[in-house]
Amino acid sequence: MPYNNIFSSAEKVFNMKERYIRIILIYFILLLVDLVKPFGYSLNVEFLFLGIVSVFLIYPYFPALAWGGIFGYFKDAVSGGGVPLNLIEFFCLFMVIRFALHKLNRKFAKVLLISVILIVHIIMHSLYVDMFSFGGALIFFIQSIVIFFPLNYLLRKWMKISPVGYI
Amino acid sequence: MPFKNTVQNLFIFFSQKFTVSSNKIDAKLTELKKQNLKLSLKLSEYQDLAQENQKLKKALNFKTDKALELIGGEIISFDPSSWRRVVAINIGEKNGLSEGLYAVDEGGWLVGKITLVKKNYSRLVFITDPDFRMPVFVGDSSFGFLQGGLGQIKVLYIESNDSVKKGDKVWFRTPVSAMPIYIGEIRNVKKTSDSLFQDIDVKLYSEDTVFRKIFVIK
Repeated sequence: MPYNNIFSSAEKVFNMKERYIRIILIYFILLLVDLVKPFGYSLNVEFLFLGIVSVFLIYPYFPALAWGGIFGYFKDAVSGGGVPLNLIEFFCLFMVIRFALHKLNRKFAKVLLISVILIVHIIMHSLYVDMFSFGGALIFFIQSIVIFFPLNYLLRKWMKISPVGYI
Repeated sequence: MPFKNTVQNLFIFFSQKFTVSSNKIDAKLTELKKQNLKLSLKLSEYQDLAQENQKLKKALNFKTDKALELIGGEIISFDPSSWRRVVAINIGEKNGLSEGLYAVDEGGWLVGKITLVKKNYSRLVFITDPDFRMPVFVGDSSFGFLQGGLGQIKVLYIESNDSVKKGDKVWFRTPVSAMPIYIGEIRNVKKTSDSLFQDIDVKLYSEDTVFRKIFVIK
C-alpha cells in the first residue's frame, strides 16, 4: 500500500533528523567541556576531538562530517590561530576513517586505528606549536584512550546505532 | 612591774625590724617609680622616632617605589586545544587593563601575561604556553630570557661563565615597582663545552593546575 511507504519514509526522515540533532548536541556539549575544562589542566584531553572521531566511527556519513567541520571551525576560531588546523584535520580524519572502516574487520584493528589517529593528532599539533613534550604527549595519549572507549559506548547508545560493524 | 624592761626591749627590737622593712619597701618603690618614669620617657622618644621613620620612608618610597595595584579577575574559558595554555579572563579595558600586563596567582607567583584586551574580557597566556617569552633575572646577577613550554620551562641566553646554580630564584620586576615578582627556581643546569649558553630548566612556583582566580599587576 502506498500509505505504508509514505509513513515509513517519513519515519526514516524523522529518525535521521533526530540523529543529526543529536550529533549537533554532542559536538556542542563536548566543545563546551573543552572550553570550561572543569578539571583544569590536570585532565589533558580534547573532548570535541574524541567526540568527532567517535561519531565518525559510529556514523561515517556526510552530516557527521559537515557538522564536525563546522565545530572544527568554531574550535579554530576560539583558539585564535591563523591556520584552520582542526577543520582540515577533521576532514582528513573522516576520509581516513571511512576508508579504514571498509578495510578493517577486527576490533583489535579498530583499536589500533584509534591509537594511530591519536598519534597523528599529537604529531600535527606539536609541529603546529613547534614544540614537542614527550611527557605531555604520553599523558594526552593515555588519558584520551581511557576516555575514548566509554565515550564511544555512550554516544553509540545515545545515537541508537547498532554496534555491528563498528567499535 | 617585773620583766618590764624585757618586754620593752623586745617591743623596740621588733619595732626596729618593722621600721627597717618599711624603709626598704619605700626605697624599692621609689626606685621602681623612677624606672617607670624613665621607661615612659623612652617610650615617648621611641614613638617620636617611629613617626619620623615613617615620614622618611614615605618620602623615600615615593621616589623609588609605588604601591602595586592589583586587579582581580577570574578565568571564564580555556583554549580548547591541549597544546595551548591560553585563557580568557573576565576583566578588560573597562577595568583598566592593557596589553603586556602580567598576572599572578593568589600566592603572588607569576602565571602569565595579557596579550589581548577587549572591553569586558582579556586573553591571558600562561607561562606554560609554548608561545610565552619574557626577560627575567636569575639569582643575584644573571639575566636571561624565559621560554614557556608544556613540559619544560627554560631560561635562555645565560652565558657559560655565568655563575648560576640549582635553587637560584628566577624573578622579574614590573615597570611600576621595585618589588621582585618571583616566577620559580632553577631545577637543573647543564653546561656543555661546545655551547656559548647554559641549558637551564626552571621549576615554576605556580603549578596549580586547577586555579581560577588571578590578579593582574597594573
